[in-house]
Order: sequence, then structure tokens, then C-alpha cells
Amino acid sequence: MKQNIFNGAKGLLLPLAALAVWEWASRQGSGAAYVFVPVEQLAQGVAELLRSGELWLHLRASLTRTLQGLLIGGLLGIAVGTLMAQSRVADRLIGPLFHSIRQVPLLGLVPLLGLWVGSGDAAKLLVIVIAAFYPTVLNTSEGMRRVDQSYREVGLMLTLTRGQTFRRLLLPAALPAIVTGVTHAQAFGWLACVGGELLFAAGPGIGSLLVNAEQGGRMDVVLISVLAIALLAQTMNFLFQRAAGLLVRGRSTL
Amino acid sequence: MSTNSVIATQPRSPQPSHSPSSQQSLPLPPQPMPPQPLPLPQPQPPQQQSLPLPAPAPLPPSPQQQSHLPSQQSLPLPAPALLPPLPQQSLQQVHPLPLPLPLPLPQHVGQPATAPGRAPSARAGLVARWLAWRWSGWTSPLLLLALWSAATSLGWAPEQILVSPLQVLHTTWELIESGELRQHLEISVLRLAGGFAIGAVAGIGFGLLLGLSPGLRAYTAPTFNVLRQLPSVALIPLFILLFGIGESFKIFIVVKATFFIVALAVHDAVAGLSERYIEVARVYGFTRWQIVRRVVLPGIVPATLTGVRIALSRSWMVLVGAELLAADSGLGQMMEMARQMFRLDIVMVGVVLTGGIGYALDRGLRWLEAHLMRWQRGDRENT
Repeated sequence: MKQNIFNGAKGLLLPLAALAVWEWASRQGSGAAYVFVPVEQLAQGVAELLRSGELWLHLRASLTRTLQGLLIGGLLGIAVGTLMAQSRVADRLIGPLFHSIRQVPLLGLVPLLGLWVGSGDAAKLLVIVIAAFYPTVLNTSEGMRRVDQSYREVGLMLTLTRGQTFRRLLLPAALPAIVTGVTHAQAFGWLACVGGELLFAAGPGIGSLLVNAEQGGRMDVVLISVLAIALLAQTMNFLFQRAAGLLVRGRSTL
Repeated sequence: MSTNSVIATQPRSPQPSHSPSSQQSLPLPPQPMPPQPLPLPQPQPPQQQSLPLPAPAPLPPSPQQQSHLPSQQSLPLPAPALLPPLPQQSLQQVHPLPLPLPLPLPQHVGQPATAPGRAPSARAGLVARWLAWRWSGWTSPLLLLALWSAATSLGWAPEQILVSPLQVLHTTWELIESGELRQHLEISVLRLAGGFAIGAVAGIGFGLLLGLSPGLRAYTAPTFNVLRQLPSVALIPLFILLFGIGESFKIFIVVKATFFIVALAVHDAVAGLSERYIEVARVYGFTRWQIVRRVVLPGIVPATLTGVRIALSRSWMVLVGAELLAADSGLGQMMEMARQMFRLDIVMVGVVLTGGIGYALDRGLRWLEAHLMRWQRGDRENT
């Protein structure tokens, strides 16, 4: 990235050209202006959304939903992943179901969830929980399985109880893998949140804002929402990776 | 295991030597013995001579001398010439031993890992046998199926929530019979194939150029990196506005989902190629085109295939999402219509099908990956 600073001017050329084309297209009659919103109208749209607090309202709803889903899905995922790694019986029972359900694309599950839990907040939350669940389970069980046998033997020698073995031995040893899983879960969770809000009934949430704007033909709002989603995805990714780095600092990665 | 059996064989070596014939020929053994570096074997024969029952005697020292055991084991080796009956007997006696051994051992080894406190009871034996059973992986799916059938036949849940497995099968058959399923399936797969082909080819081409040409990178990389961050799912409404809800929007969303993943994978693969390969190629006087063809292209195959596989499963998800949101045909639309009409059976058929297609595509590409990379397996067989 740093060497790009030197080439920054070159890199700006393409976006500027695109902007010019966009602006030119927006002046080609009202039909084109419907799609290619003039730049000043875009700016007005942003200002309006920010001033009315609408954008914040939707973003906050989506963010809290994502974090709730992450928390539930992540904890469930760690629990199930641990169970699958520790007990061969559980692995043999849960594994086949887990791996076959996992094959269904997440958004493909949406109609089924819609029939089962309605299309309200619960359904939207459930999509995020599932999205967060998959990578956490996979990484947790993988990380726990890779815990060195000698660690377990030390635990046996010290006659640790199961709880102690988990807390003192397995959890710290598998932490890097778990953190990787949660980082993936966060990325998937945010996408799932947007997807769920797009597909389920309207309510507060950035996805609902997006789909409403699309149906109302408000290209400016659509563009702003997409940019906000992408920006937040990046921000959350950055924050999670920072937090992950702090958590597993000084540990060798598995 | 190995130490145990070695220890167990040890006391047996003296036992056969009780036969008087072998003891008579004992004055000779010192001749083969000297090459043996161990002083230990020598004390043994005197013990055997003096005591008819020396069998336990060699046992006590053995734990400390485990390191010497292999050489002790080799004691029978010089002996056969002198004591023909010995190897036969020892073999006979060693053979039955490993059989009872595996039984107690797995309990020893397996217990700490799974259940520390469990006594080797009948239940544990049953569980172990179940775990060893080939089809044990089918237990939970079959249990779920049984539970599902029971729940529907006993009417535990209303029909909008749960339809019987038979009903789902019946609906599947109906959908196949009427040709409806085939139509939806065809259009979905066609969209995926079209968009994916365009996106993958363009992605490979652009990724290659991006990796090979610093000039192009300077111009396009920032834009590429920003656009890459836009999640495909969130772009569905934008694409609907831009391209309408016709076919082009679905194809474009698949192209977008594929292009960026593939292009990034290819670019990273090119950037990750060892500089040495290219230097060697230069030394050999390869032209630029030859370097690309002979060095770069073969080198990026593994990473490209991985990128393509991830892109395929991602774009399948995005396509299903797009069809759910706005389409007049396709698997996603079939499910969405069924949801609005509370036809849970059709939704379930759709869910199973989307999962099956996703799985098949992933499997197919994995197979292709393994097939194309089989030349590499020779070096990495042990890793």
C-alpha cells in the first residue's frame, strides 16, 4: 500500500474518469439521471440521511443485530466445536449433520427460516447466528484437535478436571484457531445481516434501507448504503483483527 | 505397545534354552557372543545353568535396560544356528501375544483423551464398537429422519412448520414430473455457468496483467481494491437499479462475485511466485511470452484453482440470493414463491437442491484441483 502513495496520482485517474463519465451520463436526459444520479444530488442525499439521523438508525440496528448474532453464534460454535473435538461420539453424531447442512448456501436457507420463524427480527438474527456458527465450529474443533498430545498428558498428570483441562489447557492452546474462526464469523455475519435484511420483511436495518431505496428508485440512497456497508465491513474487520492480534499476542500460531 | 511386547518376549528366550541339548552346546555360544557389545547376555547363560526356573530373573532389570532390549532381542539371531528349536518356539509364543495386547491398550490410550474416569464397562465397549462401525456416521441423520417422521405422523407440529418426509419426496416427484424443477434448475445453472465463465476468464486475465505489469497496477489497483470491498450481496439492489430485473442483472452479479475473488487470487499467486524461477528463465533467454507461458502460468495453477473454487461457491450463494430477491424463474424464485404460498415441501426440495448443487460444484473443482496437481504429489507424498 505504501508504495502506492507515490503512484497515488495514477491510481486516482480511473476513479476520476469514472466520475466524469458518470456526471456526463447523468446529463443525458431524465431517464439516465434516474440511474446515474448527478453528483451534487448524491451529496445532498448523504447530507439529508446524516442530518435526519436515518442512516445512523439503520446502521445501529444492523450493527447491534450483527453483534448479538456473533455473540450467540460464536459461543454456540465454540461449545459445539469443543464437543466435537473432545468426544468422538459427539463428533460422529454432530459431524455428518453439520457438514451436510453447511453445504446449503446461507441465503438459500432464508426461505426455510422464513417459514419456520417468520420474517421478523428473530429470523434476521438467526441468519447471522448460523453464519457465525459455521466458521467458529470448524476452526474451534480443528484447533482443539491439533492441541499437542503432550499437553493433554501433562493435564492428566496434574489430574486436572474436565473443566480445568478445558479452561487452562485446551482453550489457551486452541485460542489462535478460535480467534481466526471468530474473525471469519464476523465477516460472514455482517454479510448475512445485510442479506437477511434484504430478504426478510422491512424493519430498521441497513439492508432494509437498501431494498426500500431500490424499490423507490433512489439511486443516491442505494449508493450511500452500499458504501456504508462496505466501509463498516472494513472497519469491523480491522477492529476484529486488531483485537485478535492482542488476544493471541506472543503465541505461536497453529 | 512395542516396549510391552519386547519385554514380554524377553523372558521367553531363556525358557526354550532349558532343553539339555542347548545347555550342552553352551560352551560354544561365547564364540558368537563376543561380537555382541553387551555384557548382559553373558550373565544369562550361567543363571540358566544353575537354576531350572530362572525365567523371572531377567525381568527385573529389563525396565531400566529398555534401551538395551533391541540388542537383547537380537540374541536369538546368532543362536538359531546352534539352537534350531528356539526361534520356532519363540515365534509361536510371540505370536499369540499381540492378540490379547491390543485389547487392553486402546483403553489405556483412549481413556485419557475422551473420558478420564470411565471404567471399561459393557457400555464403553458398545460405544467403541459403534464408533468403529462403518456406517455410524449415518446414525444421527437417520435419527433425525425418524424424529421428523414421528413428529409429522403424530402431529406434533402444524403442517406449515413441518411436512412429512414422504410428502417432500412426493412433491419432489411431482416437480420432476411436471418439468418445473428441471426448468428452474436449468435456468439457475445456466446463469451461474454464464456469469461464472465470464467472471473467471476476466478475473484470470486481469489478475495476470495486474501481477505482471506494474504500470497497470499503479493505475487500477486502488480502484480494484475499493470495488473489491463492496460485498456482492449488498450490490444486488444496486445492480437491479442499474440493469433492471432481467437476466443481465443476475449474470452481472455472478460476474462481479467471481471476478474479484479470482482476480485477487491470481494476482496474489503471481506476486508470490519465487523470483528465482523468473531469473532462471531469463538466464535461459526466455522471451517475455515464454516466461508467462512456461513459468508463470504453471506456477499459479494451484492458487488460481483455489480462488476459482471459493468464487464458485460464493457466486452460487449470491445467485440464489439474487433469485430470491428478484427473479421470474430459477431455484431461488421457486423457493421464494413456495415460501409466500406456505409450501414448506417445495422450500425443502429447493434447500436440499441448492445444497446438493453447491456441494457437487465444490467437489468437482476439488477433484479437478487434485487431478491437475497430481504431478506435484510425487514430491509431497509424505507431507
